[in-house]
Amino acid sequence: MLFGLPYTNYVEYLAFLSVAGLTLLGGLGTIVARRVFPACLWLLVCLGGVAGLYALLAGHLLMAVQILVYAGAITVLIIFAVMLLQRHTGRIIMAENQHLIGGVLAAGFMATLILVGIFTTRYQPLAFGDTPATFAGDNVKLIGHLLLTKYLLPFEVVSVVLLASMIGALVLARQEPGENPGAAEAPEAESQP
Amino acid sequence: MSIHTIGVIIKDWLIGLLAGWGVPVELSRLLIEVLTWAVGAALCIIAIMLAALVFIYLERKVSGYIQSRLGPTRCGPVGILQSFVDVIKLLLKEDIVPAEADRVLHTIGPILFLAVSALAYVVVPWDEGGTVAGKVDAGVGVLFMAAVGSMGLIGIVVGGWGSNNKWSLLGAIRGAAQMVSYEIPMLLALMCVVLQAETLSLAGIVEDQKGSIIAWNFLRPWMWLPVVLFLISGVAEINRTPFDIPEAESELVSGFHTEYTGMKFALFFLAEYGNLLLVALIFSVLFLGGWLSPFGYPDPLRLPGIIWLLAKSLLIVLIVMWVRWTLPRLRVDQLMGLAWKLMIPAGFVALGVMCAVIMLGWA
Amino acid sequence: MSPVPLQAYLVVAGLLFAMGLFGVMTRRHAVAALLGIELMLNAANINLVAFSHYLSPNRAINTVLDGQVFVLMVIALAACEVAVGLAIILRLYRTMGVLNPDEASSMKW
Repeated sequence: MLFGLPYTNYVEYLAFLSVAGLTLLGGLGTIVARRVFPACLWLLVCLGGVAGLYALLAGHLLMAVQILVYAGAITVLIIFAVMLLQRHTGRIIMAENQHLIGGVLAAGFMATLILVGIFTTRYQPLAFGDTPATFAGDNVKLIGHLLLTKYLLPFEVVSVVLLASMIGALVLARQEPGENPGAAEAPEAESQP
Repeated sequence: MSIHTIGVIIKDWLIGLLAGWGVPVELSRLLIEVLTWAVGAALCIIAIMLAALVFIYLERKVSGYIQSRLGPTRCGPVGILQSFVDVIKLLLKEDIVPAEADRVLHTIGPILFLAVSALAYVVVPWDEGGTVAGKVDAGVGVLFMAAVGSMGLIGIVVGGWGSNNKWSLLGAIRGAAQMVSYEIPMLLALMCVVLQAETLSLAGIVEDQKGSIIAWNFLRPWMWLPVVLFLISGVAEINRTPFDIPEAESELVSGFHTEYTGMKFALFFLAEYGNLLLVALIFSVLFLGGWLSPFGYPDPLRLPGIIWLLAKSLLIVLIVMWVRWTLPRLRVDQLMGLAWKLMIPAGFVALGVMCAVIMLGWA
Repeated sequence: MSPVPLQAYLVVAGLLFAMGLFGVMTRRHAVAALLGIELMLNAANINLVAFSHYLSPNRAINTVLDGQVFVLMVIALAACEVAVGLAIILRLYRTMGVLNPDEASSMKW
């Protein structure tokens, strides 16, 4: 016991604080970076932090999927698009913020609302110090089981949506005859869940 | 004695030591927990450095033998100190950042590349019950490894973009396209092994192959296609010849690391050899039984598992080096065609065969 | 076992959501606005996992993982959203030559 708590608690605090800090820092960087490319990298930091939060919440599968799909595929896709746009325009694309007052007001209002909501809600007492019986090793099997039983229909619908969006993205980004050349590459949906 | 028990012994010894100095046990446990993270991280980097030291020498010797040369002979007996000389040379070189480059991105590019490479080492099962941090695998080792591996191209893209040079940018774009494409057949091959072992944990995959060499995955006929797919896409993922178009010196000067010198170049170099060892390790774990001895499960020779793992990985590394000096470099369109028109369909076929095998109950 | 209270995760998610909102509203570059949407999606995902970890309606293991399954779906849909969104931005740039979503209006002159 260390100040009335076992040491594992401090380990978890430490892990949570670092990961949450990473998430918020990344989020802040994403919205204030002046160029798009660094903003994408900040997003990557943020996504890594979120993956860490999942790991702390016994979602190891989610952690891996988050890195694989979000960081490995989605961010790369965005970076590709930024590169393509940059090659077309031939100049560094700036992304300064505009409507600052409106943005700050809206975001501040939203944040206040959420925070007030969080701290005034009375949660069911079963929550604290009484965590559910999730074990990292079993989660994968159970999630797979859930996906093929309880959530089979949403799972199938998601795959149809993936296919539809892949075709849609190809059709939208396809170069039509007579358009400016050098725009042949179309972003594709590489990512599978 | 496995690596894990050694770790436990060291931990207990440290707690005893600290208790002797009057530190509360819980506090010393906390300190040691944090220390373990740091040591684990350091071990990953050290593994990469050792791999690079050995592989630089090995690569030069192997290419020498393949081309009927001697390779390095001057530094030390049979040139064995060549790697150290190379490292010192790289360390002493001037660090140049091009005037028009983005200083920050130019610097974090190689760091990211190396960090991502080191991160993947976290889940490698070196021995029975032993990744660097004990049990970090958490049942999703395969997925984590694939996920982190797919992040490697971020480092390449950042470095290539930050250099503000057309060769670098072209190399980075090629690298990103190549790595994204070859990730798919790699994952499909991985899925076959996962279906066979019914687990996403790398340690679990080794457990599934327990027994002598007959029980290993590469001897199962339905695994032959995944073996080939994984080896090819693995070589493509780490940008080695014949898939080294991101740094093709005949077209792109030297691709994404054109503008790098000294230590930053050395970081790219380190990470490339780290990735080479990683692919070899993962291949050994997936198909060659990882730390298992070929003579049966409790190893009759009583060697530590890590020796078997490294021996198998060395075999794979030698094959990859042999391929490097045998096959010519592919053109960009051929490379993409190979991935999308041949390997991805083949991957789906392999997955289908694997499913059929499971349905028929042969697995 | 988990000493970090549920509220801590919710606060992180809430702040992230507000940041995302700010990004979407103020960015002058369509791709950067898309990044804001990603932040908001991630904030929602954190909430889903945190609630399912701390406050499952009953202790059966199936419901404990509901939130995680939702997150898997959300991640898949986010991939779709980004692919289509980037395609639209590319198309917007080719037809109208602008990247600022505010300027992409042919209704007002």
